[in-house]
Amino acid sequence: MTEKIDLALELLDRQLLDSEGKDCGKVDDLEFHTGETGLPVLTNILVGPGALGPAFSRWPGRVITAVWRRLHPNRNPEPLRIPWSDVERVDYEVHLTVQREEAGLTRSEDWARDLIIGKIPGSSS
Amino acid sequence: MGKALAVTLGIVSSIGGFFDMGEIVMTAAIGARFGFGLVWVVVVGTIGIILFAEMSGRIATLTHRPVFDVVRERLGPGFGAANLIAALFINIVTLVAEIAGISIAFQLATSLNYFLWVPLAVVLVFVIIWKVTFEHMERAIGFIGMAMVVFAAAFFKLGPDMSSVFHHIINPDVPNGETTATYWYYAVALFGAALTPYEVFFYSSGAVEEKWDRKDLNVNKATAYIGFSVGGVIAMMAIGVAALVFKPLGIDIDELSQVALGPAAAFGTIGLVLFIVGLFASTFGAAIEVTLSTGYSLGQFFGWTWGKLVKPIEAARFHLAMIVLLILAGILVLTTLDPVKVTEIAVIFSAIGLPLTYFPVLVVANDKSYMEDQVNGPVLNVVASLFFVVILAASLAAVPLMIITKMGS
Repeated sequence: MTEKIDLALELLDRQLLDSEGKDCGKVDDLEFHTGETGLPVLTNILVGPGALGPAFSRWPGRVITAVWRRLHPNRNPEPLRIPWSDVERVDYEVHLTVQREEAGLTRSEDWARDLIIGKIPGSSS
Repeated sequence: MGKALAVTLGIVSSIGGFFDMGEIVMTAAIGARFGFGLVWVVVVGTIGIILFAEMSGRIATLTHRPVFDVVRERLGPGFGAANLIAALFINIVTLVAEIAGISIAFQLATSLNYFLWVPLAVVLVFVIIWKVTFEHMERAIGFIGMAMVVFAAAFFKLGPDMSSVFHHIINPDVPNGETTATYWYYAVALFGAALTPYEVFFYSSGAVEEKWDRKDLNVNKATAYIGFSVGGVIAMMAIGVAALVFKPLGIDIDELSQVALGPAAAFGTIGLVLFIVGLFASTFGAAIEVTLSTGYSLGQFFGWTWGKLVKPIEAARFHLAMIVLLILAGILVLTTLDPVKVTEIAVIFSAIGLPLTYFPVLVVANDKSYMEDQVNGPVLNVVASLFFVVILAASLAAVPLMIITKMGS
């Protein structure tokens, strides 16, 4: 990935697709660290409500973050991180080189499927 | 599928999509109170939905991304979330109205109280979304919904003096006993009824699901231009029927069953039957579209797997969201909310929320990085931009008018 992109306009809030082309969330936030040259280097894509909440400034963001913390199985949950090295390419969507299950992107989808949708007759046809 | 067939089907389904509970209630209420004085609003509203749907369909065709994705991508999560919350609110109120409409159609056919039919209506909507394919669903509902042409037939059967009708349409006035504020309040309501946002979410998401490409741009144009125009003409005729039947007698519409008296006055029992069939098809179709469009909005905002063409088990959150919405709407109908008032609230709030979705669509339809050579042409762009001013004016006027007129009373 050497071509120039505008991170705010062409990366943030784009759809994520996994290695099989399945939808797996949005680019909710980006994480940088300071590289050897002292300039910020993009390291991770942050996904899910844990990343989306802090992206809003005022109370709506705090509500999203609080609900997410409460529902998360871990005591001090961290937002989900996808390393930038797992990104294959960026066009209208952001294509990943990993499967969404491996990347841990299916927690709420699995929950909805296993608890309710999978139990309704005809759900798999 | 042949091109002509595709175009015909698209047109039929957009006529069905245009005419729903909002149109049925508002055209009757407005014709009864204002005669032909607000027919011009249908013309404006129809132009609006044509512009809006055509641009959204074109964006979906070129980018393969539907409206909600584009809104969040271009304007960020804050604007996207505001839009999502507005859409969810409008959709739930609209769905309450449509489910009440389906149930009342059953009541008119069977004389059993409509509350008894609410669970059946909810289950029917769910089963269609769960099992029936997109194409079959759209076509069946579109064709049955054509029963609403009964309004056009009834209008001519009632034999109005056409030169006087045209005179009233072209020189609209506020009738005696109505204030300027109520006149404009109902103008905004009728405008909102024509431009319900769910229609556009549904339309553009459908285009993505059916994988439209550049070859389909003409189908998109024909569907939007012809389909919505025909829908608009039927809406005008429906106002006309109410203006001819109710206005002279000074009858106000405060129940959906009264609307049936218009077609019945022209054709007796057959008019009544056609009205019931058309009412069922159009509210049922709209309920399916509102439910799907809510799933689409949520799925597209959060990046879930969404779609009618995906197995439910592979789009679990999308389907779960729709189930929750349907149950919630069913319960709200059963709390004995007045269906006519709920419909009025739904169309007014559609008008209030409209700039939120129209604006990003207008921006993206002009963006070469998305649209390549298919950006808005110069003429279209002037018209679509001017229309944004109209939408903004209606949106800003809605709340003050609602307060001044105490919701049109």
